[in-house]
Amino acid sequence: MRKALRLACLGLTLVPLLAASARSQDQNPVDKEPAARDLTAVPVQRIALDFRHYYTQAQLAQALTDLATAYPEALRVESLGKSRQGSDILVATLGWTGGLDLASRPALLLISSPGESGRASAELALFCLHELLRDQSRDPAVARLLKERTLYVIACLDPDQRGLDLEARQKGTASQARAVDLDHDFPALWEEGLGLTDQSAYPLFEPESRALCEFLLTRPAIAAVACLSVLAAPASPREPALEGTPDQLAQNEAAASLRSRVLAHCDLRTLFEQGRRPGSLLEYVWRERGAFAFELTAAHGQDRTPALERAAFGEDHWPSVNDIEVLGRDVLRRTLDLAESLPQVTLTLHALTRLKGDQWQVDLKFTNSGVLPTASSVAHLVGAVSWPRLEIAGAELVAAAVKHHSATSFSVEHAGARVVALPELGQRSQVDLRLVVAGASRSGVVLTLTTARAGRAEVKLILE
Amino acid sequence: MGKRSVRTAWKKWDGADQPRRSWLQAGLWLGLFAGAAASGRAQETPSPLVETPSKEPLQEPVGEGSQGAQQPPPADRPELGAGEQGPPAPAIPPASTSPDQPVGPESKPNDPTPIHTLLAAPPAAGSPAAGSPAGGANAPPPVRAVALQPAYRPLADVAVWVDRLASSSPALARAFHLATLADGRAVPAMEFGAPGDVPRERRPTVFLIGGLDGLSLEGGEAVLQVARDLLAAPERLPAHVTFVAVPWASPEALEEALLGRNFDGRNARAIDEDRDGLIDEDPPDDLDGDGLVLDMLIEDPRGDYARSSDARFLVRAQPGDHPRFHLVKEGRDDDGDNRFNEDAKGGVVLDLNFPVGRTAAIGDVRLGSYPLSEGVTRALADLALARPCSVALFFQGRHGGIAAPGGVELAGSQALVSSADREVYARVGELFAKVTGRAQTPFLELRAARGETRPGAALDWFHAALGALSVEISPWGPMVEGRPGVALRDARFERGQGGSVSGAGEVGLGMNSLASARPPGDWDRQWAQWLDNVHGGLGFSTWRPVELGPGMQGRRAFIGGWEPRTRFNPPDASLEQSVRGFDAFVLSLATAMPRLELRVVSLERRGEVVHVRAQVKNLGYLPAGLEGAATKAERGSKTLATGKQTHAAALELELASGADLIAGEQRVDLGRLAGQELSRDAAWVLFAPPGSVVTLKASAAWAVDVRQELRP
Repeated sequence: MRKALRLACLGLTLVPLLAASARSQDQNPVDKEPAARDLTAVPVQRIALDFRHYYTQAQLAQALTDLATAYPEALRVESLGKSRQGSDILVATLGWTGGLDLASRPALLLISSPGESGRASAELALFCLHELLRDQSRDPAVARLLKERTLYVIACLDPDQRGLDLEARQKGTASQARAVDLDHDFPALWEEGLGLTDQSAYPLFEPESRALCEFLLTRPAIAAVACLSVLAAPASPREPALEGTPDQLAQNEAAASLRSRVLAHCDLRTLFEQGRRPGSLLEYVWRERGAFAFELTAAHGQDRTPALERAAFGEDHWPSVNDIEVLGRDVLRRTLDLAESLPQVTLTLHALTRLKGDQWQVDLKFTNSGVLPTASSVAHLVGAVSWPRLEIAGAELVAAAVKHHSATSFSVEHAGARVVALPELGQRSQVDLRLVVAGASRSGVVLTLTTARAGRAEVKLILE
Repeated sequence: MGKRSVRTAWKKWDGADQPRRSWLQAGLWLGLFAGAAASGRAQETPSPLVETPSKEPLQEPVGEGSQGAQQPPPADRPELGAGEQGPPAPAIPPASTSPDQPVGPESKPNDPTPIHTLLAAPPAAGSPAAGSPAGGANAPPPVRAVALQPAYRPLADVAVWVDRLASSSPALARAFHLATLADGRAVPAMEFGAPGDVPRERRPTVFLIGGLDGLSLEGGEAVLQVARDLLAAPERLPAHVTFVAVPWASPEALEEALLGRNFDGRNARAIDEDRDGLIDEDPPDDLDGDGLVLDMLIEDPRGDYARSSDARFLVRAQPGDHPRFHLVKEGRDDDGDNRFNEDAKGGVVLDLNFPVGRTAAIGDVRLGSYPLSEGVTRALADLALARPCSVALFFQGRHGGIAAPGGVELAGSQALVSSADREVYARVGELFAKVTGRAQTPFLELRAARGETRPGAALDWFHAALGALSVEISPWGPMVEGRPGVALRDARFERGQGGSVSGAGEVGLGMNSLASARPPGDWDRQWAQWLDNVHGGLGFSTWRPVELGPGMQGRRAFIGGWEPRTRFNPPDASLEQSVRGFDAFVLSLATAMPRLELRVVSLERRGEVVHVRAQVKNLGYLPAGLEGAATKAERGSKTLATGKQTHAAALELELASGADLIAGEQRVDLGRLAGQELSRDAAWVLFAPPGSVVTLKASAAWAVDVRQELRP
């Protein structure tokens, strides 16, 4: 061994920032994080919502507000904009405060699909929120979600049309379709839809889609979006997705992995397992934000629409109120799976070696534990994210090199005096980092890894 | 328009003082736009189904837009009935079958039409516009001429001039604010048009948009001049058209351009281009303190450029080229990231902030975070949607001619402009060349005219989504001050003699011999010819070495390039020539806009049953709309027709209570209606008790609806 190797007093342990900081009792309402899923344990039940009816927009807003009031440490509700008729479009942000800012954590957006089938799913989204808050003390997956990730939930993107749908449903008539289908109103592939009668004259014409777009732009850490919809019948078979870019394949593999847990009422598919959909939200999410795009479909399998009406008006997407909880539980499970699959980085100190004088070699491992890559290549192509950065405080960076797991040697990375740009990592992968730093003996050094969509991690060490 | 005004209009048209220029203009358009009809449908050919052709409508048209049916023919020409032929038009050759061949005053030596008559085609001040006079009871009031001299002026002055132009003709024009900028200032705009029965906001509208690209100051000036010239002779304004002028459509960017500080047309939105968490931290700098920010070449074996045979210009590097350079704006690496000027002030190019054709360029910050993300572009789009936007003219660019939609090549075999529409654009290009005297390839797509792709171009959206005839008119270009065909000898481009403008440039760039270097590109050659032969060789700063600053020792760099007000905007002395003369072209287009005439061919009652047969004639010289464009009805509901659907004029039957349709479709699609074309018959059989009233409505994308009540 060239030099004495000594591990730092704070080192050897990886200190993912989130984990360290979120344990504060003040910020974490759960006295003891659950070690295993135990649904016989007492839930954190501070409010009870009734899911044996459909929610009007006012009731939905009230329910979300009540939840936020009852669980202030875990839920915030805000308006991301107004609908054309002036209703608030509400977004619920779920995650324990403390540690890394909620907006910087790896995030999943669960949104009721902009189309007709999505408008019937607001109760399912609300149910998910309700259950997540209740289960935070008895389900470790929920606790991990609240502690390390952020879940955004938009239960209803189109309150105006949902109101009309509900009204028509009560009258037993067919709801009049809106002039512009929100799921044709997003910019991606929009021009391929020129000529669709329910497409607007320009993308983001409707205030609802525009507000959502603005929201996504201000939340660059959203790594994945899941559109929730309700179908009467199970979704049509998936299109085979055997080919594609590495991004697409990674996404499809993640979906396949999640589907290994079979759920009776909820299917998951990726954007690439369907045909192209000009102007759709998921196409936009993928093509212009580079976020992974999924569709969650809850199938109630009980289309009671008479055949003639179905031919005229399509299937009845609305689940029976008796089915909301059954469907909601499957959607909740799938949402948790998706949240678990989000990328999450860790930084591990492997070795610290004194080279000569004040120069030190620091060997680290940069790991992504998520089923999804830390960011898609599309996200970089469209400029939605910046590259992972490792910043050094307490010493000067002299050189940096990276070795991928398949490589036999380190390749030199461009580095400034304090910062080195790192590559994105694929699903469940890691790279070795070798840094040469200059710093006085016994000085403390902090290495902070920042990613756009996979969180942050930190290593503290002492040069000795 | 009531009966009284109709008679007045007839009387005016019957006057013997009708100038022949109007006819020449009519003939010009007939010649330019007859092609589509000649290719398939005969002009004014009676249908064999016509039972009792009538030269006069059976009922006097009433209601909105009735002036379309009431327009009499010019005085020296009787009204055309079905089957009659109009007088011979001036023999204008049809559009070139090879649209790539430039046309211009000197390009058609065998053209039997004297060129001066073609140039005189638009009616002069004092003569009514062909087919659509703003006369009679609605004769425009006299206006005070505004002495507006072409000049480079700031936004405040533009706003003052817009107000002044509008207030000089209060009966014809009004000023308004298109949008409000982040700093609270307004974007000035105005609308104007001849008096008429149809409110201006409901007429087909010609948009005149200046400098949306954020660089073309002269484009803004051209719009002001067009507005001034049109308002100075209001009797020329066609009564069925409204003009909307937005001279400075990208004010923030144009203000920077006015100060010589904008190089890519971006507005003031702050953007972190390099995504390092800092905003605008590495802008261009005036390294040598000469008061100018020019271009900078940094020598690099991986550079994209190499020298051309002219020491001033560059060509794309090829293997083996040495030395090679990176081309950036003059400046230092302010933030020490080894890159130069990668995060300059400015954000979005408004001209590229539209939805069509942006897929391949997503991530390019110039396009904005999403389509119409900027307040001005959104306001412009909403205004265009709120009006029957028929023509959109963008005054910008540096190609000196006219460009049709096509900022990018669409994926697959999709064509933004269909072959039928291509014909229309080609004829507009011909008209432009004839009226302005500029050399012009009849059909030139935007990317070809610009020499670069233009993703998200406004031009493409106005064409594809609104179905407007959309063209970019470039006031400035290398040929604006030179005549095509005149032999301009430039020794610099002859092999072995290149680079004589600046020996220092050659030495400085380290090229010992230019014998093997490639010549510069076409654009550089054209600009070089202008510079050397028209502008006295002044205006290009030759390349000279420069120090890049601390940490960059050993890297060779040079600064030089085009000075402000040369290639990117015309010199002050050339401004007037570059912006004048577009009024004739704009007026020609506006006058040629389609006008519908509804003709009831037969109306027969047999007991309670009524047979109705009717046709529509397009009295204008432009077609009634583009192929694949949105119909007016669809546009009203903010939806679009498919690009594959033939754009149609339509006849619609509106039944009063008590009447019922027995046979025939209530709305009959009449297909694409070319200029001067008479549609096929539409026929209906109705159950209508005596005394019933039925209304026929003719509509088309670019025309005012015409209604006619029938009392069978």
